[in-house]
Amino acid sequence: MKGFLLSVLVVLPVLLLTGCEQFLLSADPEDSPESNFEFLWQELNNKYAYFDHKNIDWHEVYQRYRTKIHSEMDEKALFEVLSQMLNELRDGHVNLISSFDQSRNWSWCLDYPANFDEMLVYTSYLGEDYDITGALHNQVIDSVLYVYYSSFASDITQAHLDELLEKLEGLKGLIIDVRNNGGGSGANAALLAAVLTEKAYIYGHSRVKIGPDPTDFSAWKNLTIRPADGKRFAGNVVLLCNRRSYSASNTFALMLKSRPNVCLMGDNTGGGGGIPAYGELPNGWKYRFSASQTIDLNGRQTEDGIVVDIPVALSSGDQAKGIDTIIEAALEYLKNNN
Amino acid sequence: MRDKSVSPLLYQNAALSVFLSYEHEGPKKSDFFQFNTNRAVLSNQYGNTMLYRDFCFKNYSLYKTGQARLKWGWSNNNYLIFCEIPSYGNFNKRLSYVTSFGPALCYVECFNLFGKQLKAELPLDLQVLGFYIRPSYVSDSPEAYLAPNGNRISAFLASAGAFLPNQAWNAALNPGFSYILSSGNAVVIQYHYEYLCINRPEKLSKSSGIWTIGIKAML
Repeated sequence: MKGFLLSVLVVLPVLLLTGCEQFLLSADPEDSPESNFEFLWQELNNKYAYFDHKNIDWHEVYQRYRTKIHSEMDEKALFEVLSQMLNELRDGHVNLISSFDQSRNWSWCLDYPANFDEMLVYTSYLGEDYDITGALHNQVIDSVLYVYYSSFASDITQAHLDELLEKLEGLKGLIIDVRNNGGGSGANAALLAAVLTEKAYIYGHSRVKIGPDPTDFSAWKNLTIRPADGKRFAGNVVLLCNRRSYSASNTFALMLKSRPNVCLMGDNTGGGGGIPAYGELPNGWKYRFSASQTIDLNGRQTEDGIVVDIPVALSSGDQAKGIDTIIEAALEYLKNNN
Repeated sequence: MRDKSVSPLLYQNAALSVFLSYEHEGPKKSDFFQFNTNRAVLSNQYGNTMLYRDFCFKNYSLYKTGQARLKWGWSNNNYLIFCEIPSYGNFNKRLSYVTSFGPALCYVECFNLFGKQLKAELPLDLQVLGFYIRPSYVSDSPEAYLAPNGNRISAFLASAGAFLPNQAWNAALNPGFSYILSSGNAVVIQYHYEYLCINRPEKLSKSSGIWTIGIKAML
């Protein structure tokens, strides 16, 4: 037998995807005002989740905006028209992002009272000696643990939560303040919700847009919270919200809405029930849009926000006296429901 | 590379590649195994970037024919491609996997030039059957948003599909030229061209050409 073994070892910086390697790949799509408009409209037609719910006739929008697109327009004029078209969706999760501007729609919060004064929270409630446990700023107030979570984009860990739960021992309850929390990672919301339940529960349903018809969706998928493996808290909880509690904060409010030991207080959340997905236009601009719908256990779209159990408004009179009406109401609630 | 679940634009750049190969040549059959990994920061014509990494394990089993210069047989290709688009807030990490089988052949020509022993080889393969796992534009991270306390593996497995002609393509061509040393070892220069295309759920197409210079050592 004339057999032999060979081995080869090569470590080299080499070229990938250059030169003649492109010949089997088609050229980039045409970059013109018309092609960018068509691409954006089509992508949203296939993937945007709320045409039906918001009663938006996207084909009528096409007719209206297509006439504003012409080949001679410069990129800023194109950006303006595309931004106006996206604003028809009335969605805080919809943006057009270029190197010179980012379109956005903030109607979900700007038309409503603020119901939050961060300085007031720090000066009158957190004080100078509050604890910073990861992203969770917290203080014990009248035997209640007050936790201010300003952004779900700031990650929390089980160790942070274990620390908070240790502080909660012997206290009357927990206030979680997500007012002005514009969202971030839903995983952080799920982590926090998981320490507030003793057993798994379904808190809503979600589905993804999968086709060009406004009613083309995947099947509804249950959204579930499973209890954390470590420490958990089964006492009373008040969640403070306002219209600027958006996206992941909206989801967090949904997670807690059905819990018997949780009361939502303040103002309804701002919405943002769809998962934002991203894409890129032929001219390199990025866009963001809601790709899914989420409903609560009663079938209500969370895009419209989560309705609080006890509406409380921040009184300007209280504010002038250094009092946060909503925190005071939460403290009173926990005192009376202990 | 172009992944239409991310962008209609072509992303390209130079990459850092590592190859490790093993070949066993018997009287009737030769086996060839190759591990290859590539790493790059790809960018499109507007400068938007994508972090790219792949791991590929390929093997050929080739049989000698009546024609001594031609060997034929079958091949198996296993591909793991990881992309990350840093500027996308969600669904920015995308993992694709392909396992496929198909015919392969290798043409070998040995000759002498100025008294030196040289060998030219042209292996090629065409993958025709297998399976792939591809994320759709919303089936990868952040799975936690869709299913808190769930894991990404469930989303990953939900994206499996059959690798069949017309739905997916993978072909490779690796022409090489060896200078045989007196010890039996060889210095090899080789060009590795590969094309991969998966049409579903949204088209991924990838074309790569890699030049390598290496040492072939007898064990």
